[in-house]
Formats: sequence, structure tokens, C-alpha cells
Amino acid sequence: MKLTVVNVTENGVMVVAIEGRVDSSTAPKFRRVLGGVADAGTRGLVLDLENLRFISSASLGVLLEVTKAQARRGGMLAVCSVPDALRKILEISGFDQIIPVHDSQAEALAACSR
Amino acid sequence: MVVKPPYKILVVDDEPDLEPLMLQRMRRNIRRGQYNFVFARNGVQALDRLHQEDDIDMVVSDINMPEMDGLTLLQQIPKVDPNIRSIIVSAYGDMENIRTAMNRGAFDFVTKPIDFRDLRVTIDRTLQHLMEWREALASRDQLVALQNELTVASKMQQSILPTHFPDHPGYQLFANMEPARSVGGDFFDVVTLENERIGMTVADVSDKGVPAALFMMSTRTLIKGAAIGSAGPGDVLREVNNLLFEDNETEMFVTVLYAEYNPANGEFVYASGGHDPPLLVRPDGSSTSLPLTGGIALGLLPDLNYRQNSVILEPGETIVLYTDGVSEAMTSDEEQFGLERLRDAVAADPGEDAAAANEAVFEAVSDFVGDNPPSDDITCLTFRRTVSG
Repeated sequence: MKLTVVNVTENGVMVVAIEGRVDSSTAPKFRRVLGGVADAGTRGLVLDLENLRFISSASLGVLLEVTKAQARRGGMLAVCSVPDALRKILEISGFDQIIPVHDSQAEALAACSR
Repeated sequence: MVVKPPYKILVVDDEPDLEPLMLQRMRRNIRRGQYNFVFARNGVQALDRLHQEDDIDMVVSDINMPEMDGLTLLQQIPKVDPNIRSIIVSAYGDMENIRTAMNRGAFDFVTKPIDFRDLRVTIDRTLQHLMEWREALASRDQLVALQNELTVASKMQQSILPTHFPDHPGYQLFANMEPARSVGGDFFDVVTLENERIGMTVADVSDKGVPAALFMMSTRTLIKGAAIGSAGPGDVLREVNNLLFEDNETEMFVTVLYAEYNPANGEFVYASGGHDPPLLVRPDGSSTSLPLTGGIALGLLPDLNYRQNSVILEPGETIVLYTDGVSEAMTSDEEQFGLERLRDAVAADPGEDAAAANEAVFEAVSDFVGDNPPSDDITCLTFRRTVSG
């Protein structure tokens, strides 16, 4: 798993690309990093999942945790460029009703900047 | 310390007739040296016994009793010994008391009038859990390797799965779960409802290890409790979601497909909490995934509503409930098993019964993945309306 900050916009929205596999061995790091970014008071957090090959369900729980933490602080989390297989998982689990899903980074940025 | 049988069970009930009845109905288990019963007539007497005898393994208690009722007793038991497990006996459909009992740490419940076969299964399951629990405690004192914790968790997981399925002329039901080596969180359950209706659950908890196994156990018990006397699957999921959310400090969640079948009219009603929809397989081998009902996985957000959907099963039609361990089982080339192979396995031999069809799924998955070890638990429940049903 690799997390890269690919962009921080002028109005404080951070774009993080997640690559590779988020499984039980990388989940603690995933939790630490994402939690840290959210705790830093980032107003908007966009996760680009284009090159995410696998995410375990426990780590999806981390995404939800951060989404809720962001909402409590008046911030936002959105994901974009979600691979089809993962998109289906988000749909079946109902998580797409909690985490905003966008087709592109630009769309997600626009939503988080509103 | 892992105690060997006979297990000492304290039965608490103000009804004097229960004592001879229990001894009579459980005589085989007593003779085989599995159970050893002692009795008390109310909560106060029960506590006295628990204080005097430190070898009581579990308590089976009525709720309404003079002097001290069963719900108060439940609160007191952990103060005597936190490792005693309790089963509560409640009036049929008395959700309020069942819920209170579960919140106060009851492991399970049975309803009145007591079905002794059901009680025996419930007692065995509770004892099984107790053994795993004691093993977990014993190994915690040593330096517990993660693998060890996972072994304990997987034993706890196995201990809640039903091993007997209803025998009914109108339908056949069979289910199985094959745990993955390291990741685990699947379970299934079957609950008998009023008017010969039957409820069935297939679920997948998001995490692994002992906390996940405990989460799994409360999910199973809450579904069982909510199913009795509920207005339907949507209602059951709404209630269980709220109860799980209340106690959920982590972001653990569980995806659940809960369904009820009525043999009187062939109606199959289901609701999904973030789980894959049921697969309907017809006798001619064609199949369709039933529509998603759009519910969110349970335990994450409060006050959600869960829609339910219903279909009428024709004689010979089969419903398959599964977890993603089946549909996403993978070869070493990352090719997935998928729903078409699932359908083909179930429909391969329409002359076979549901148990054989269910078994065929596990064989097909195993053949498909070859020597690629499964990365997730595999659970499959096959339900068939019989041709004469």
C-alpha cells in the first residue's frame, strides 16, 4: 500500500492517492495516516482510488470512521476514480450512501470545496 | 482451566414442576455425564447457591419470580463470577425482556413453553462457547500470539453455527461455513418462527479476532431475538442495527442478509444490510439475483430504515444465500468464482436435495481455486421449496 498526497488546494482540500492493497497487514498504517490527516483539521479530504487493487472490509470501516470524524468537524471526505469492482462493493454494502463517490478528482474537489 | 463435563447447570424457576420435568427430559444427558442440574426457586436462592458452590458453569433462569427476578439476577451473576454464562427463559415474543436480558449479559434465550430439544441445543452451544472462552482466558495469561487469538476466535465462530436443520415437507434448508486460515467473520443461523415460518441469516463481520467473534455472537443473538414476533425482515434489521450501534465503539460492522419463508403460501421475504442479494435458481438451471433492497451494513449509523422485498417461490425453486467468500473466491490468476459458477453448481443436478446442492457449491469453489488458499470465509446457505411443497 502506498499513500501519496498528490494535491493540496488553496482552500485546504487535500487529495490523497491510495495505491496497492489495504489488507490486514497494512490496515494499521492506513488507519494511522488517514486518521492523522483528518485530525490535522483538513477541511476536505479526497481519496483517489484509481490504483487501489484491494481493500479489506475492516479497512472500509476505517474509511467510514474518517468520513464520520470529518463530518463532526464540519469537514468532508469523498472518494473518486473508484475501480468497478470496488464500486460494486460500496453499492452492495450501502457505503456509497455514507461516503460520497465521484467519477473524477475534479468532481470530488468541486464537491469538497462547496 | 478448561473444565471437563459434567457441566453444572443451575436452573432457576419458581415453578416446582420444572425440576422433575427437567430431570426427566434431560435424563440421557445426565446419564451420559454431560449435565449435572441443581435448582433454585428465585434469584435470592440462586445467588446463595452461586456463592456456596464455585463449580457452577451456567445458569438457566426464568424472568418472573418472587423475591428476585431473573433480570436482576443477571446483573448480580458477574459479581459472583464473570465467567458464568446464562440463558434466559422468556415468554414467547417478549422482546422487551429479551432485549434487557441480552443487554445484561445473557448469552442466549429460549421461549416458553420450553422446547427441550431447543433448550438442549442452546445449552450445548453455550457450553461450547464457555469452553472456548476459558481457553481464551487461559491462553491470554501466556504470551498470546496473534495466530493463537485467531484460533480461539475461529472456534468461537464455529460454536455458534447450527448443526441441525429443520425437517419440513415443504422445504429443504442446508448451510455450511468453511473458515479461511486467517481472516474470519462469517456466520449463518436458522430460527424457527410462529406458524411454521422459518427465518434464515447469512452474515459477514468486517473484522477478525476475538472482538469480531464477540460482535458476531451478539449479532446472531439479537437477530434471533428480534425475529420472534417481528413484523418482517426489514423490521428485524432496523432493530438489530440500532442495538449494535449503541454498543459499537469501534467501526466494526456486519453485512447481513436476513430472510423469512412461509411454507403456507411460498412467500420468501428478505432484507439486506449491506449484503449480497439472494440468488434465485430455477429447476431449468436459469437464475437471477433478486433485487437489492439498499440497506447499509449494520452497526454503523443509528435509526436507519431497511426495505424488504418479497417473492413467491415456485415448487422446485432454490434460493442461495452466500457471502463474498463464495462469489469472490479467486484463482492464483485473480479470476473470481462469480455468480454463474455458483448457479451452475446449485443447478447441476436438480434431482439432488438442498444439502447435496449446497455441498456442490463448496466442491466447485474448491475445484475452481485449486491450490490458491481461500482469503476469506466461505458461507453458503441453500434453501429449496420442495416439488411437493
